[in-house]
Amino acid sequence: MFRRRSRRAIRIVPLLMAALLLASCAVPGTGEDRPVTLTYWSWTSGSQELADRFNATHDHIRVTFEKVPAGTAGGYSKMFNAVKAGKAPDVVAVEYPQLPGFVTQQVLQPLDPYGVTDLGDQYPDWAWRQVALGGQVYGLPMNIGPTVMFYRTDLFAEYGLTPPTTWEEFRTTAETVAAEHPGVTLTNFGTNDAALLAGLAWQAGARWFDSGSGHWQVDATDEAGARFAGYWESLVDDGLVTARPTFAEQHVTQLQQGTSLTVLAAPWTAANIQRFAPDLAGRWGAAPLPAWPEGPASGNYGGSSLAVPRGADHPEEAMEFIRWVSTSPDAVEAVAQVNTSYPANTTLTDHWGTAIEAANPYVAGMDLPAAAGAAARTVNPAWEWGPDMTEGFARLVDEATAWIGRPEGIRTALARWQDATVDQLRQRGFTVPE
Amino acid sequence: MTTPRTTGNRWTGRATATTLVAIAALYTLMPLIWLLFGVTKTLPELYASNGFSPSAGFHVLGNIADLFRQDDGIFARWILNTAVYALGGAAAATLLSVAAGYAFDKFDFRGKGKWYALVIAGVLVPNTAIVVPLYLLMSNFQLTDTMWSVLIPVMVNPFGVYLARAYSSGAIPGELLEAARLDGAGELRTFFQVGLRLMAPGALTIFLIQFIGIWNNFFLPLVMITDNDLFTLGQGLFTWNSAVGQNPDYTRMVVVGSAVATLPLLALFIPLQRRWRAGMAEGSLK
Repeated sequence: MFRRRSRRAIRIVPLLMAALLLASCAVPGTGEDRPVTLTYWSWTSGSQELADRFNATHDHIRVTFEKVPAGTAGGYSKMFNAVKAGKAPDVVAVEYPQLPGFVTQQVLQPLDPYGVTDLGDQYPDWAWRQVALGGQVYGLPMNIGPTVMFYRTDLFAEYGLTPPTTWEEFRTTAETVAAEHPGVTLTNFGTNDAALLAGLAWQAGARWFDSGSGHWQVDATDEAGARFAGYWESLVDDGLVTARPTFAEQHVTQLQQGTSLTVLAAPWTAANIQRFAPDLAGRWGAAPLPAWPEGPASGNYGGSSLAVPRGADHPEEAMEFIRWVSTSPDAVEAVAQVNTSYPANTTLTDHWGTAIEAANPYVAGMDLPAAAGAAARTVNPAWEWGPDMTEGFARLVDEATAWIGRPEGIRTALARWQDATVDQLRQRGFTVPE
Repeated sequence: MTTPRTTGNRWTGRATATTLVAIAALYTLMPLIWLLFGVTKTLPELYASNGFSPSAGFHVLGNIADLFRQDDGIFARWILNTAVYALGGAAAATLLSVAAGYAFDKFDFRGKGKWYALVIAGVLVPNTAIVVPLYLLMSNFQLTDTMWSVLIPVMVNPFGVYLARAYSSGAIPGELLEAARLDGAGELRTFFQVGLRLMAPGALTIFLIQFIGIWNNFFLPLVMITDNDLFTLGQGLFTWNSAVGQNPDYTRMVVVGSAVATLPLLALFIPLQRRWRAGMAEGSLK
């Protein structure tokens, strides 16, 4: 970026003067070991800690973290603009749903030339497929969000409940809770969280996008999608769960007062629950999401990768940083101090379990590492994201907020979203078969 | 016969006006009151309690301390940056506007009408529309992500030129300038020592308008600046607010930060309010 150059330029002036003064003495090579400075754009929690830890342990590269607005709130368009204007940073955080869009818009460099292909077997197959697009790897997975269920262990014990392992049991449990404890519901079905909606559909075996034919196929209303949507519609209609925006005032009040007993989420959510309900330490447990009849499965809800934009000044050094973030126990340790996101790299998960329980008493005792590990291993590998999920999510939030809670609301929201998505992709010149 | 009716009309008219003003005042003040209550609260309270009830404890000092500690204390830096943008930009814009307005009013030069039409056209173009072209322009000069990329565009305010011209025509008698010239003052000296002084109240109005505009300017810095150390308050708070999904505690920081960010404006406005009103009225009458 210019500012860095200008500072350097300013620094050069006194250097030149010193050089003139010392011309006769000729001190050789003092400036040669100056470290390469990388700019790292992200908004995810723990980014500053990663940069600090990396800088403390590396001499030849300095990482400057710059906080950008969250991706869908403007961070991604900022990255696009910067690359187009030739002002690309060296490292950017990109969430998995946006990677295909970044690739089709040619914002990112393929990382294959930097020897990342040999890292593939360190990540769950499905996670690697999220970053390996069209035969090239475009980012290294940093963290992932395999879906889990947080539940109030104390209230479950008090009410004589066990964590449901199937969705059928989940419904029975919800009926018991509603019948025996008026005002209490088993969970809240978030109406404003498109990524969670996708994660739950993903777990149910849905597959919203399919590029296998060489064209984008969009299908949010297939059998698996309809089953998942119909299930939740009946729970909402029968008053067995509430349908409210996730982590908005009413939902937070429910959690604090113990009138909503579970949160369907991902490991990173634990840190949010902790901040909204700090008094409930020691009263939460984590379990895998209840299963559909086919057996245990998970979806993914959140997480991001680190990538190198086209036009980055120092791609080699950027890769060194990214590789460190994605493969080093040190990096996991640094992030565990501030959040509870689950590392994508399977060789680091044991280390993460120890680190997170040591760093965060709220999480210790939840059994989160076991639940997250089990979930991460069973994420459905077939899922793909479409080529413009920033707009896709925004539209899905609009539809979900408008429709969920009404009869057949989820199905209507998904159908409307699908139609609009197909239209939009066609307008942008993609071929979308019926 | 007519008297009672007039009184009655006046009464209903006054009641209507009072009610409307009361509604407007309530509408304007509610968010501020919410904000003041919010400053006293912890994060869980912000979400779970009534917005217009105080906190169970008193967390103002702790919240403010946390605000200035968050992200290595960058909030203080944002205040400073915003002050630099707003003071520097408003001062430069005021001087340029007053000089241009004075020139348009007191001098005759070729194409005056067309130049003035250009200025008025500038008033009509929305600021937002020119931000992206400005970004590309700044990018050509290698100025994006520097303070100049925000300062240079806000140094010009066509509306200020318009106000200054109106003010100049009312506040500076042409005879006075003639007298100054006859006494041997050059044009620059006449402007700075006679024109500028007489236009001071009008200049203050332009300064305040521009100051508030820059203080609240959001889109321009959002596009131009990525370096967190150069952020404005609005941009910084927006960036924090966008990250609440990552860390909900930013909600508290945004609430407390927004409250703190209004203080400098209050500090500037309350003492200057009387003069400003006078300046506005004078400018509009002439």
